[in-house]
Amino acid sequence: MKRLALLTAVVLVLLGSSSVLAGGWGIGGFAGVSIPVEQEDAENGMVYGVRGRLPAFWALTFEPQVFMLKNGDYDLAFDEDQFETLKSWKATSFGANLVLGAPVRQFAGIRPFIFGGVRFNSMDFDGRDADSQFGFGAGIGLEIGTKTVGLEVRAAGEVFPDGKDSSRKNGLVTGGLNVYFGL
Amino acid sequence: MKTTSTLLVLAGLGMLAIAGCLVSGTFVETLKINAFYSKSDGEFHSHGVDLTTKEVWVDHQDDIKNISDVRVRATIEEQSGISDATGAVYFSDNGSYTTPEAVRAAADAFIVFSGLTVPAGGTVTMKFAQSASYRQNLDQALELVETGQFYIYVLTPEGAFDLYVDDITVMVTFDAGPSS
Repeated sequence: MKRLALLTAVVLVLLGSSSVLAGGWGIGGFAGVSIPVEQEDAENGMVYGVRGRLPAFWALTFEPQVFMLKNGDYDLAFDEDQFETLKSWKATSFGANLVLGAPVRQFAGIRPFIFGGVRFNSMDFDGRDADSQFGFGAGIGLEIGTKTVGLEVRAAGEVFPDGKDSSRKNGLVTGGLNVYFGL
Repeated sequence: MKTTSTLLVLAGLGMLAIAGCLVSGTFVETLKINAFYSKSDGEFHSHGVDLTTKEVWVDHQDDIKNISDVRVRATIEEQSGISDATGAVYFSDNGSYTTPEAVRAAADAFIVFSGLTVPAGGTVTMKFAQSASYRQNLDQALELVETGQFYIYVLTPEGAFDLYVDDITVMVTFDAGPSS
């Protein structure tokens, strides 16, 4: 698993390097709300992270990214009228998206896009050992700005497999700022 | 144009794959166990746990994928005021043991919670959150809990204490959904 993660990281770096050499690149930060789907042991939480934006090929943009997700604590009701507040799970995610639309430094204005990609997620459950697995995510977004600065909003679905034939699913709604450099 | 169509189709398929996963979920079930006294003579108590009668479990029993967590909560009172008290909680799929020695020697019984100390004359509430720090053999316990029915044995060592254990609740977290 570690070897595969390392190989993935090397591929990401090589792809990124070639894009930068070809001209134009961007970097952005984002933050927003994490919405656990069908999880009784999690409430809405927060997510934040950074990503690069690198021209890949054709109209596609390559986005290496890292984000931290923390679900909100939840109240467990038991014995009819009692409850206890318990910590939920959190994750650190390394990965990359391929983005169709909103090409780097191509035009100013409104730039809608769709995206999807794979991640290497480290999931941390309170009172249990951390669990690292590959996951994936996809979504839609809209960026508004000039050729050098863009404000974006995204809605994404992220899947966090647990390696036991089940997975956690979270919706992420984020806003962010991207800054572009190069030719 | 052909490339655009191909990419849109692939994106659509990816969305459908995610949507397919969304029908599974994580659920939490709790089950209360009757209060009991444990005297100072190395006494022991057994309790059958039957999750298969609980509503949330029944709703998902045909598509449970795995048990992801098990915890307990209890209020423990040491009533003798003479000495601190401790104990251990064993899980087993065998409910026929009648002595502490039999439980300790059994190949199919194992400690899941131990290490909590109740001061003489004091009362301690072990919450679900705290119970994780007194837990061991978690994987083995999760595997047993997945059967839905198991036995809990509470063993106390011999000593000059007198315990009353109340508000005992077992919490089980499980993932359920169609096989992927």
